[in-house]
Amino acid sequence: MTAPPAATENRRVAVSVENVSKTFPGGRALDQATFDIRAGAVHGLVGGNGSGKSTLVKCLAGVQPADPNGGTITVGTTTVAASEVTPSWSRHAGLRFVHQNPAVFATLDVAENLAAGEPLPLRYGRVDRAALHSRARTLLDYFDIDIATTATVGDLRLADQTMIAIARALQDHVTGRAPVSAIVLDEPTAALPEEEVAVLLDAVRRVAAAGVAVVYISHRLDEILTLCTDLTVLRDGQHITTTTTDGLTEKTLISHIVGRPLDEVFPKSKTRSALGPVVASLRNVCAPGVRGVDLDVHGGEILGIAGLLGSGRSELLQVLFGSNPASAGTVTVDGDTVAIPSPRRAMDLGIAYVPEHRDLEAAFPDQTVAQNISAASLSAVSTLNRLSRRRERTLARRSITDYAIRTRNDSALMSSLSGGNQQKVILARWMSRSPRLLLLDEPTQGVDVGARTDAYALIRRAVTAGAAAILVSSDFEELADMSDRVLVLDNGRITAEVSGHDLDRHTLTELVFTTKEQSA
Amino acid sequence: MTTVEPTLEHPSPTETRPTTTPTTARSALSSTLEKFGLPLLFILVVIVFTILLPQTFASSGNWRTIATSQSVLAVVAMALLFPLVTGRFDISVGANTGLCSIVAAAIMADFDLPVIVAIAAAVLVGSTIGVINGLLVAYLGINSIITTLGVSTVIGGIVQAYTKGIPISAGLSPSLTGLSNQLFIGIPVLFVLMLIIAAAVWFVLEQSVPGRNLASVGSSEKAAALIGLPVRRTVLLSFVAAGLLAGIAGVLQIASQGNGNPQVGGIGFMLPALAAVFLGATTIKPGTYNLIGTVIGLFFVGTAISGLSLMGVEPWITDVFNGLAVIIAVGLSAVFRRRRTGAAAIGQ
Repeated sequence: MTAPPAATENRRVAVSVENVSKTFPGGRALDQATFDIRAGAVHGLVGGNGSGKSTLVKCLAGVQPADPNGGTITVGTTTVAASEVTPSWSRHAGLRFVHQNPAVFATLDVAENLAAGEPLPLRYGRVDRAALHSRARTLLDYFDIDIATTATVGDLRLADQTMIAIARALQDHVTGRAPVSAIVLDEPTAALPEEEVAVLLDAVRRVAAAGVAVVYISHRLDEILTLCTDLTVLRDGQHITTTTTDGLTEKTLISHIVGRPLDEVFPKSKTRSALGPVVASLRNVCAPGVRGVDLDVHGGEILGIAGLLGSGRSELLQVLFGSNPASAGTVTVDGDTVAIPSPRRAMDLGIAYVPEHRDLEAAFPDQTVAQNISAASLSAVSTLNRLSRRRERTLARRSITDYAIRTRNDSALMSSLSGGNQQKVILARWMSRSPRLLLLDEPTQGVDVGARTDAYALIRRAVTAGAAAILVSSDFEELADMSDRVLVLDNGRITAEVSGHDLDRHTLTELVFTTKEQSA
Repeated sequence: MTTVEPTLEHPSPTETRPTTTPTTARSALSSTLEKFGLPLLFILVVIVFTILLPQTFASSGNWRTIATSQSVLAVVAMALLFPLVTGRFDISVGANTGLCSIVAAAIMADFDLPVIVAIAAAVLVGSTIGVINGLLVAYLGINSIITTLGVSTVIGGIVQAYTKGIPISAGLSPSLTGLSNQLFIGIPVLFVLMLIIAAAVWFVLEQSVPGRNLASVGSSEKAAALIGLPVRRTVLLSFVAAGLLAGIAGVLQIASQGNGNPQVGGIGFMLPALAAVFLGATTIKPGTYNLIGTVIGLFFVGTAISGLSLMGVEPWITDVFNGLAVIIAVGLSAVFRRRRTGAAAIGQ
């Protein structure tokens, strides 16, 4: 919307996105996005969850064709209908993509990693290692990357591994075989420790200086503002603005992301309804990923935890479930100071945990629905270690009815159920233990709307009956709707608390993005 | 069979899965065929050999021979079952059986102790080997095939060192060696003993909390840990159970053969048992290792080999048959397993 300043107007356009839309059966993920990315610019792409960033990147990469609505994508001088973009077109046109977890070969050295997928230099039919390393050296020197070509990649810092992935993606450009117009970096710093971020940002600047446009996706707004020359903001699939970062403040940027002036999002506190006694509390608790957390959760309360990826939100739940035991601080459950060294101990204390990755951490795919439901309450369906099939099935049938689990019958395999119904099975598994404290990590991730409503109702019912719940979700709409109170977590620390009238998606989005400095 | 849910990381906005498909009737028939395919094949083999060899194969003497000789292997197959349910291999079960039979024989022949002491010693030695395997696999995290292959080789060496390769046949308790000829209401006693052991194994694996824990660890170790199961201890116990059953199989081996034979325990000895476990995983509960399937699988292999040898085929046919049975059974059980869970990996 804002015109680029005169000083840079002569720069040519590397990538031009015109009128690109993408519609899913559930709604429009991207609505007529139109903007240019200038060559040699670091172009930030920002927006909250579900804003359409990933959809746009997938359209550019050709992995998810855009709607055939006449939208076009232009790279350099070639223009193609946005719905016709394929991965191979994207590559030939000069687009490259480096994802958050760079695909490097940890056990190979730097030169071998850079040569992956390339023809190897041969000498008398054998790999010419000297040529391989000198080729790698040339490539790294081009971007002033100071890493030995003989180093094993797995031993390098994460920032270095990402830089190697970037260098590999750009080698066609460096060797002059095929110019690369733009490289898309998807949250390259999300997993990096603080001190390595600067190293990577320098490398990104050198890439742009080499004439390649960099599309930089990040949730770290301070990073976006210092690194990027231009940026594009998306919100709810709408293209909000494309502007230079000159004179742009973080406050303005947040109001673009959130969609209203900042002044409207500040506290007007409301008294909460009376709560039950404190069920669990943490005092100055430290553990891997958790740095000095204080919190109380009451009976009858759903306590939400908001944070970005890597903020320590899952780790915090795992402290209470004994799978990431506290190394310091005090954990109190029902008034008693306790140590929770194992999930078994947590379960004995009446704590239940619905983990984030159902497929990996909760489901027993080749066991029956009944077996999955009873998995955490075998002592209730057995006598002296002898399982009672009758009691197990009674429990299962009651859960299937109570939680409206759509399954052929209780002896159907878990793997035959849809994701949402599998999630209800996992919820039923833990609810049948009547937990005092329910730990929920992304309980509705990948769950369709109907099952999501059922799951909400289940959780609310348990809490109304006096249990406490801690809910982690990256869907801030859900978090705001479900929680009585939300704590914002950043880098293992609690940085803000929201409740009452202030508790809505925009406030949470804003707090998650702004509380960084306060945490120091 | 119902379809396996694909990875759930990409939620499809229109997630409506019919819980009953129009093909229910057809899939019910095919799933019945799948469940009872092996028993049907077994009956077919019996009918074919009975027609071809009415005098020899279909005689009650032959049936007793099969029942007696296969009973030891059936217990060996049950031993294999425990670690396999947790997703691990114990190929030292054969060598352990051989070791335990030599231990029991030596206690009676060389140390002149009563048969009950011999039995206790064999079971103790077998379980100890199981503890060693379990510690190496569960706590040091060494691949189970490699671990048990190494342990198996060491055991073979020790047995050769003690026996110099000569069977121990003198000085054994006749109450044990005589068992092979004894009948209980017309059924060989060894077969009856095997059935009793099978019933106990069935109870543990299918009806008890520890058995369910083994299956949960085999299904998903991470999920098992997050329902409070001690995963490593469970894996250790599966190897101890395997060792204990190998000890019992060692004692039954003396009863069946009348001596302690140091040649027992090689891969050739164990192969039919291995074939049986995998054949068993294609039947009754397709895709899961199960006791009833294993016992049916073992007697299928034993009966087929008996029939083939009575037809006068060359002895090498037996090896080829056993080897092929293992490959086909492993292949089929992997297909069923993949259809259930999306993963076919066997052995850790």
